[in-house]
Amino acid sequence: MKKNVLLYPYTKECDSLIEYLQSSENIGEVFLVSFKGWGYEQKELLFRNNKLYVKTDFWTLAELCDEIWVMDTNMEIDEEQLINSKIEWAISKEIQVKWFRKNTYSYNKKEDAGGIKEDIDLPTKLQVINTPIVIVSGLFGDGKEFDVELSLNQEMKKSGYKFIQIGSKKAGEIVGMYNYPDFFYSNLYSNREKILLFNQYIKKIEEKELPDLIILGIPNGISLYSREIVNDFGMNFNLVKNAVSEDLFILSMPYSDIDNNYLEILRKNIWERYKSFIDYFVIESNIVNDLKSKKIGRTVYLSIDKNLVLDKVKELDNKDVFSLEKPGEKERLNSDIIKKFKSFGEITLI
Amino acid sequence: MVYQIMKKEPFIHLFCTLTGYYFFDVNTDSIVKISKEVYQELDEGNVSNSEEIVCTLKNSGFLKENSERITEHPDTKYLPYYFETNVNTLLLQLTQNCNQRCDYCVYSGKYENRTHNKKRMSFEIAQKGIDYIIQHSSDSQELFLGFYGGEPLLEFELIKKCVDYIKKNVEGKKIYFNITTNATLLTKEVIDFFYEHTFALLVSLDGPEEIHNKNRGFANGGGNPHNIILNNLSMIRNLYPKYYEEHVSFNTVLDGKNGYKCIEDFFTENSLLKKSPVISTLISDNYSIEGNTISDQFVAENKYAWFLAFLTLIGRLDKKYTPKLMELQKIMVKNTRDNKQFGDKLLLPSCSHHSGNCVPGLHKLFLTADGNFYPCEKISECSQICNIGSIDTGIELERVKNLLNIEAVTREECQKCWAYEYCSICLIHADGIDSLSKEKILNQCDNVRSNIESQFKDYCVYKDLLKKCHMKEG
Repeated sequence: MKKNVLLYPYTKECDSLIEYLQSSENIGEVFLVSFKGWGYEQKELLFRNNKLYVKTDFWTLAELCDEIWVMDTNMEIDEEQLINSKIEWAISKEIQVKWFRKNTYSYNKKEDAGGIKEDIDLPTKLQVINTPIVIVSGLFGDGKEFDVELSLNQEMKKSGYKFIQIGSKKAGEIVGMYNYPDFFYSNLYSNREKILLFNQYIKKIEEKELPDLIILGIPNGISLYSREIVNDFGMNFNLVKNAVSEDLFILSMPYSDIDNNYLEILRKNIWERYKSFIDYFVIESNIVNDLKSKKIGRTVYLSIDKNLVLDKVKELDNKDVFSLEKPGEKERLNSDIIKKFKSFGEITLI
Repeated sequence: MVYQIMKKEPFIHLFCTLTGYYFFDVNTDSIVKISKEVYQELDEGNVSNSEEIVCTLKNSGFLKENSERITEHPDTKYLPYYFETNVNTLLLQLTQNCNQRCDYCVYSGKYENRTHNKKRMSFEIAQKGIDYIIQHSSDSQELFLGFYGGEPLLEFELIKKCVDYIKKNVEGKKIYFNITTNATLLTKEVIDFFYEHTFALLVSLDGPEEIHNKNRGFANGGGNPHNIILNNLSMIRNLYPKYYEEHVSFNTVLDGKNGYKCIEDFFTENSLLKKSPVISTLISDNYSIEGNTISDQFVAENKYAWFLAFLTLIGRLDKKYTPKLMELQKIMVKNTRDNKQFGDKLLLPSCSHHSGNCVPGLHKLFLTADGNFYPCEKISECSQICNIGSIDTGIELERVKNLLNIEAVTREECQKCWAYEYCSICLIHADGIDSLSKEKILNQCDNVRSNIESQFKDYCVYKDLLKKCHMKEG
């Protein structure tokens, strides 16, 4: 049976998910509620050929839905003031609530993000992951890398291959992705412990699900932006890279005035730093908002028209460069990945 | 061979101080200390005796020549997107009236600007302005709403309505309020309101009584504005001492005809002011019809104050002796090379713009009482060229694009200028009322370069003396 869902709070970061939901058979009506005064009121989106408007009246629309999805955003929100009372009300009305928010900037928080340190048997060595692994990462993090993950999720489902996916955002659960486990963000675990535990985590999922492919979306990017805007220094990428070896790497990066030479230099730098070869580049329809990023101390972005990106991709004329806004590119990326893995399958190691 | 190295002139600026010889390398944005001999040879353009050192410098990435660049501000292409989601700062001109008639006021008739009149902003226009930033700030975590005039406290009821309106229509964002005021109309009710909404208060106070009252009389004559202000400040501090400490600051206009020391002493010694931040500026020359003069006494006392500040900077004098009005300048010198590290830059970008101007309307959006948008309150309201739209038309992006790229007016001169990335020339200096004025811009250039060189020199001396004497920084 189809369920009507309400996304709260709506921000533009929900757009790619909304696009994905259009083809979801489980979803009926979608309601979008933003915070008052955030500039989204009456914003119009298309959903299954109908116009969908962003509203601010949570209470009225919540009565019409089966589930409330509490969405994440890169903006800091006073959850206590803006969200918790509404959620408590919803629960009292027996409306299902799904929480897709996480501690986005756990590396900035002094308090622990991971709860209590469990008394566990820590593995002492890395296990081999036999399933091919695709990693997706943003260049600086908090960009549109999750859109790439959603795209892969959608296309892989159509292709019929069995895959498991760990999403860089909690909202990935909506489309069947696993989350990063709590210990990954916790200050209670050392990096060594995190690497060993994450490797074990992947291994357990592999043994349980027996997939053809594993897709890992990595949060917080692979690189600092500048000496003033260091973000996470690519720590999460480092942790994941030590836990598993990827077979294919997709880098999602903001638009800028680059050329193919720049991409080769970037490839070389990432190889030297991580021993990871960037197979594909996806150019996002955003740029780094340099002034604002310096002001708040982390990378923030400005959305731009997709046509700028399409022009750039055309100019680069490089088969390893994609814009997912271009019709057919999602399918091409997916098909390239499958072709590559099929060619790996022709080699047998004894 | 040696001659050929210097045949293409390196893009540098040479300067010297009592502690050494330097060049500023424009391409790499570096200050390099050199010997006197190398300095002299670079100055002459013939480095026959310094061949080895010059080679080393060149191999390290310095001394590259100037290159032809495309003049375009890097944000030009992205203007529509910035203005869609990043306009979060609005300054409302509540009234063009004022209860004072300050001698140097830009609205006094001595400037190419409007004059005092009774025009007031309607709540309808204010509301539209607030709606505008609400709708165009979805990428911003914060909103900034400022109140200006004339004297904005003449419209206290309007201030209350605006604050109420924005708070009712925005949730989950931090809203910062600020007001620039002559502080003569502060009452307990007003102070309570400012405290409740954590207003940042910028008070215009020019110094001791005789200096302040000389230039800042009431429109109706009589009275003692200075005493009224101090009484009001006292009231704020008594009622809300923490608020006073954290949210009240001062703007001092130095007319340059009086001495500097008496003003400095006033702010340093007065118990109401000594712990408060103070910004001081000379009477504006921008748009001035008559121009301003500065007395020798002022210059001498100003320089001596900077000398004292410098001694505190290098630790030769306890920092408690920092002249109050020099605190900001001290920070600026100390931070001259902040976040700059050799290796970050190799060349000036091939497509660029000098650093002087902000993105008009994005950094701050000034809405006049009759609903016109300007990039800031310092721009003359008579300016046709700097008007970037209205509450009815919205921001006109083509106008913004034109104002953003003021370098186009003086491209040839700018491209040759060593101070390119430190330039402080903005729209105010370029505004010819009907068009952007090349003459006005170029008239500023020598002054701008001189100031930058001065700052570089101060910085170099500061660093040299710290190193030499192993002194603790002040």
